[in-house]
Amino acid sequence: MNRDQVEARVHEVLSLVLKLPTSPGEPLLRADVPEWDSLSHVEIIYAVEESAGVMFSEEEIASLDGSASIVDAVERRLAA
Amino acid sequence: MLHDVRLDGIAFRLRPVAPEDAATIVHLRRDPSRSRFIQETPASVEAQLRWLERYFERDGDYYWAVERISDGATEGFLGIYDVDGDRAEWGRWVLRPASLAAAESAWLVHEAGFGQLGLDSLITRTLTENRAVVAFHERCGAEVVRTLHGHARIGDVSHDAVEARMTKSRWATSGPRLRAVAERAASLARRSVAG
Repeated sequence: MNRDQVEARVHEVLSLVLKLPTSPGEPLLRADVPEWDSLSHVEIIYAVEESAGVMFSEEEIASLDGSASIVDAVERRLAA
Repeated sequence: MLHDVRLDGIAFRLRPVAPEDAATIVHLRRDPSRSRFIQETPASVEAQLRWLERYFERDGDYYWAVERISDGATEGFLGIYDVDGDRAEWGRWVLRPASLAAAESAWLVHEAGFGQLGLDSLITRTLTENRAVVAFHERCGAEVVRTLHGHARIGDVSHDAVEARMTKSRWATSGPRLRAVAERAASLARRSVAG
């Protein structure tokens, strides 16, 4: 999976969980999205893991503060 | 007030706040990302200790630390206060950045309120600008009751608040849903311990 594909999957998850129109190329920050609360965050992590076939560490989870950081973390996992 | 209400959850527990928590309370509550949504925060550990001394003497006020069961680390704080018959407010909720204890600590405080304290209604008052927490309470199943205009002053600015209410009967259906999210979050939190 290349970065564009990862980004597409991450945004697909964000759109589904947050029920918001999002698209690759338009990064989302958690702090800017009220719907991205603590409950949604847990759903997003599980959904991204399932979609991308990766598993984040707790330290990585703590750093996931937006779409770009999620894409970065998935890419690191896939490259490992 | 001095109390001994403790509650263990899945990955986290509530334990009564102690004077030794003063520095951590100040650190978390004065974090710039949170302090804009929090009122009346003592500015120093000494001032927080004086606040805690008054709190220990105050009836109808339960303040807890949220603690990781695995290692006893403090994740944050919350409380139930202004107990009036079978009603009370819950709040003073602050967690360390990126904590996974949000769902579970919210679940625990409701369990403490409706279970151990025998309450029938818990309200929250959240500054309107704190939209993620307003949304969180609604997603937990709380009913938005009203907007409190000019509820708080932070610095020189007056802020409205959203009052939401969870009743024991609503909790019967909302509680299991929140518990399910808490279990998933606990699984994430346990990864570093297991690893």
